[in-house]
Amino acid sequence: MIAFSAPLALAALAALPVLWWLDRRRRRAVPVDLPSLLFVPPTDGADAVRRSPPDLDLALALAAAALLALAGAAPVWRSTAPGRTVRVAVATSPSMGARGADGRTAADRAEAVVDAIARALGPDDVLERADAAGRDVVAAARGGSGALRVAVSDRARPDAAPDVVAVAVGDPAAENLGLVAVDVSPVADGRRVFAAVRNDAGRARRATVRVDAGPGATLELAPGATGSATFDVGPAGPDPITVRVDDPDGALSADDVVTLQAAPLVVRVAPEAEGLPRAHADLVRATLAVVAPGFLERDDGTAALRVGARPDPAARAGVDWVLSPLRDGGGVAVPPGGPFEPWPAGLGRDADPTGCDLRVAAASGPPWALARRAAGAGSATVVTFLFDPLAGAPAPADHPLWPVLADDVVALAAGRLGPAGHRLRGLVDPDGTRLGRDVAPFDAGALARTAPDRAPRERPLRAPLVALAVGTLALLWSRSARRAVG
Amino acid sequence: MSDAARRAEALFPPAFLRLLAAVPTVVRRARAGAAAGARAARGAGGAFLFRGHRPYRPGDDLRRLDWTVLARHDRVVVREFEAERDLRTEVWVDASASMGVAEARGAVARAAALAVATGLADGGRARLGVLAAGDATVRLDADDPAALPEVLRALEAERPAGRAHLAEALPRLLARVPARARLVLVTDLLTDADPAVLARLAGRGLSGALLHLRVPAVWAPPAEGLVEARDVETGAVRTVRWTPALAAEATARAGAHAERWARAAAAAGLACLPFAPSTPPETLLERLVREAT
Repeated sequence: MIAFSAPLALAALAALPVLWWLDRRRRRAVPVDLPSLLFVPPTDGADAVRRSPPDLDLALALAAAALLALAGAAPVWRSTAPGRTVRVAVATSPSMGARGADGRTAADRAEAVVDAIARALGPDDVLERADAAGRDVVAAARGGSGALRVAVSDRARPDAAPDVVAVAVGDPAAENLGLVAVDVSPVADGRRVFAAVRNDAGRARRATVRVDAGPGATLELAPGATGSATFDVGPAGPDPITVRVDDPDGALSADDVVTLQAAPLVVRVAPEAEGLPRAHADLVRATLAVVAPGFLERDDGTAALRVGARPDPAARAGVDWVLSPLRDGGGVAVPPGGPFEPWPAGLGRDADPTGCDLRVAAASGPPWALARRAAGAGSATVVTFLFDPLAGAPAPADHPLWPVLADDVVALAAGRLGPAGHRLRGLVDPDGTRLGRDVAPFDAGALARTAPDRAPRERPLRAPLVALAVGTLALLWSRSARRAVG
Repeated sequence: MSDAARRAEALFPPAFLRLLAAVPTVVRRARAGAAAGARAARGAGGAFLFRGHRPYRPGDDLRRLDWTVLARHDRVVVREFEAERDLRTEVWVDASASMGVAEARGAVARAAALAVATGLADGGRARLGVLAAGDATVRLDADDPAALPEVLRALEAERPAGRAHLAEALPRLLARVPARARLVLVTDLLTDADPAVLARLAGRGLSGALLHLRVPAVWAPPAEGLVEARDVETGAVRTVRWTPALAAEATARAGAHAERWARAAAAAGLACLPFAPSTPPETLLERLVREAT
């Protein structure tokens, strides 16, 4: 429904007939006295008038005038009824890429569910998307506002709260073998490759794992079981190292191959003078122990790790947008609400002359760390951790999540994320690659039972009308200018 | 200045009056004896009887000075012959309404005045008449340049109106034009009459000209787009969308029409002299003297 805040302005519409009349006056036949009509070819005068070409200029002028008059009346579009907010969270786990027998992935089926929900909505309802990794999909559905909350993933969600409608789009017949952990570590006479494979199928399977073109190791895997194998690779072995598991019929192909760099991240440790001595030592130790076993302390590394003091505490700003690259990139697990929380307000981009693009704050107490990725000399990536040693306990290096944080941040900085966003070190999230086989369709009745949570919506239409009028006038002007030039 | 004087001055501005006064000189210079010689060859003597003397005027052929009179009486006179005085010029003006539109009327009046003046030069006689309503009416006869003011007044008093009906007026006119006269027709030829009507002039020893006034407005109306054209003579109205294509067609039709009349005039011994309202009177006079005297 459209209402007008200033209806008196509609009186300007009366100018339209005047414009039309003026145009008619302009376009009518011009009376001319001629000495003779002897040479004027006989034509049907009425026909000449009738064949008068439609005047686009008049139409444009009338349209512009009408639009301006309507805009002057400040029209507002109001929905006629209150609406509902339907918040739908779709899992983004790697397992959602599992392809079923019909060729569609779980993600495809999830999108079909979302489309069906969208089609069932009324004109005043709003659909909000809040996608999240598998484990967080329920929490994502519960976040924000919503009269109806739906979590869509490839498995049942026993953890789903009563206010969340869980929809499962898994494939009961799906089977998969996948690498769930790979690593390479230095040994006395070369390097050793570790690979773990999980049988995500309802029956026992035999898996063959091999490193590059070397001999394979055969693993007998019970349903749901994980097996591992190690391979010794000489110091002159392939670099990078490719680990494969034979699973041509698996639902997921992304977890069948993993490529490892022998030295996954070459880290240069900045001298202590660039950071705070005590904190520097602790942080470097704790970080490198997890992040880059076998790291090389070189000046020409692909990444440099430095430690320093955080900027002026007085300069703080909201950092949700700063954290988003970490979350979206999959490099850092920052669950909503914890364990990390946004850097307190006041620390903004302006406060850091180097231009931060990665920041992390502690779960409790004052913030203590900020990671910044920047381009260093040559192709090096510099990751700087800034922290306040007076921020309180625990110290950054002693925080239980610090290794994960540091690993993810540095991995993201070095671009070392594996296929489908997998980390290449340690066991991945079980929900990430374990196939979901549950099926729970969306209960259409849930939508009908949902009470509105939104007041009737209003949308001012003045700006678009003015924009349209300006566009129309511009077109009119361009036509007259083209005629003048022609 | 009275209204009449103003109107007269609009038709015959001072510059034109000066040109008109110089017409006898221009004519005599152009002839320079050639005309007399031509007539001597054709007239077998009768038309060349000595008529008398008249005072010398600037531009007269010095060969016609009577040196004997000059020696004996110390007077500068030239000899005149009967043939020259008998040369008669008939100037007939189309008086239809189309001749009075905009600047056409002045151009027509000046053309007619020049034609009369050339006829009166060197002692000729002239007749001024109008073609209107299907008839030919004599306005005045003159046999001396001193009558030119009267001619101008007659032309100034003429008010083009109605239709000329040349299809009827021309046969009546041609029947009364004497043989060997000089005929000057001033008309815009905006008529559906058959140009073959001029064929009746053939074989009568006529000379002269068809002064064809061509007003561009006829084929190029002073407006574009949708035009409601009204014929000033018939009052007929025709609504047309004036486009370049239509203008081209009208121009072609006007050109073909003029060509037909020009051919008919040539066959009758008349020179066809098209002129426009913008044609300078000097140019028109030069063509009149060169091609129609």
